[in-house]
Amino acid sequence: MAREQDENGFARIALPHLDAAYSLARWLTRDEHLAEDVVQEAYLRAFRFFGNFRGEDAKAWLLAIVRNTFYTLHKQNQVQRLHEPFDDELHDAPVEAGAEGDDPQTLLARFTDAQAIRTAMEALPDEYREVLVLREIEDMSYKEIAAVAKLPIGTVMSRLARARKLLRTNLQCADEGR
Amino acid sequence: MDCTDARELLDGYLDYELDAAHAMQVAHHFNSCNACRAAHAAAVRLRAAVRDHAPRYRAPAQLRARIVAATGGKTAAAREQKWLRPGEWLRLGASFAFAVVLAWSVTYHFVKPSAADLLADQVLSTHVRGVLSGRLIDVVSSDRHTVKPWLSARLDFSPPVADFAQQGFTLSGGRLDYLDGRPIAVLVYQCRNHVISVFVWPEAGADEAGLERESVKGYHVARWSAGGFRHYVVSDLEEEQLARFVGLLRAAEPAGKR
Repeated sequence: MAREQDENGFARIALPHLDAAYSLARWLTRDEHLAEDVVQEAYLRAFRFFGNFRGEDAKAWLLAIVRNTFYTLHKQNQVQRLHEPFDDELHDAPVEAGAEGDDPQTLLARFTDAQAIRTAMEALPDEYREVLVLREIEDMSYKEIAAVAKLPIGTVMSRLARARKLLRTNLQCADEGR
Repeated sequence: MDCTDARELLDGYLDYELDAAHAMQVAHHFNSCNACRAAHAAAVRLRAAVRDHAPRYRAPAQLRARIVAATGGKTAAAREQKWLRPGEWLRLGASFAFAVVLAWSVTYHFVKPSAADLLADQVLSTHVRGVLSGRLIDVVSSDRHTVKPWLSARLDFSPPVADFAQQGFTLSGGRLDYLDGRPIAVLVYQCRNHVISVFVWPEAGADEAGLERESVKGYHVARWSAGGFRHYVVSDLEEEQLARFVGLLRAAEPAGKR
């Protein structure tokens, strides 16, 4: 009875956020098959941990598990890439002057090019891509993002700022490289 | 606020995450600084580009099916299950609390003694007190032509008085009493050893009210409105006899006649 209740409760809690979970996984893995693996593993973990779920923000709870699962599998599958602890100080170097302001016409054109935007976003480091996806695509607040990514809210803001500057740079580079 | 501060807060401003004081300062700075205003406009454009064109991927159907199968094997039926989520328990609890309050209110509304019931209690108490104290009759007379003028002289109304000695209900007399904030007439009848009190007072604008009867602690109370008077009849007489008395009384008082 309790088991059935858990199963039914889990379906009600977790299934509505499946698209969000898959989308985050897809943006993190940048691969549809890897994304499915991550989400399936994440949902099995969530199902096992469901007894610990205390009725808080279900979406943040699930996306945090998706994110953790991604980093776990990421490390396992891509041993060739050394995953060093992310250093916000190091990455948060001052942005060069002129990176913001009046956009050149060529850059404005890229703003309507879905493929260019997707490529530029996928070129972002994971730590920046995830906060940007959570903010702009999942429309989460800093507080919710902080809960998913296990970050202080101040770091969420600085990472978002950095992510946007890098994204702009990536778009410009893509433009110049054409 | 200078440009450095404004640029640092730009993203928080963009995301509506600043407190009101900081948001106002940033907005104020944008009004006076062309470069920062341009940076903000550029950030708005970039965000719009991402929101408009970066896809939110949808989970493939087979992934959903695999997860459903792995975590309970229930699909649509699982979502229609009867158990409630924590939030729904809360709502259910709130609904229940509301229902309790509503039920209490409704019950109180109906169980709460009505004005007529309260009056019936007063009438009964007055009758019993009168019988116990022996101060039941001010004017002792079996002649209604004595009782009626006596009452009329002491009240601002002239109560209908009838005698049913032929039918077994002897008029014993009448008295003044005070009920519901006004002086009233009480006619006292006798039937064998039983005392019948008839409380009468005029009721301004009273509708004709049908007969209502109730029994309280061995006493029977009948009440009705007719001919501009409110009547309460109280006695420990058996119910059928009292009903017969009430029938006689009502028949003797044509509606509309004062």
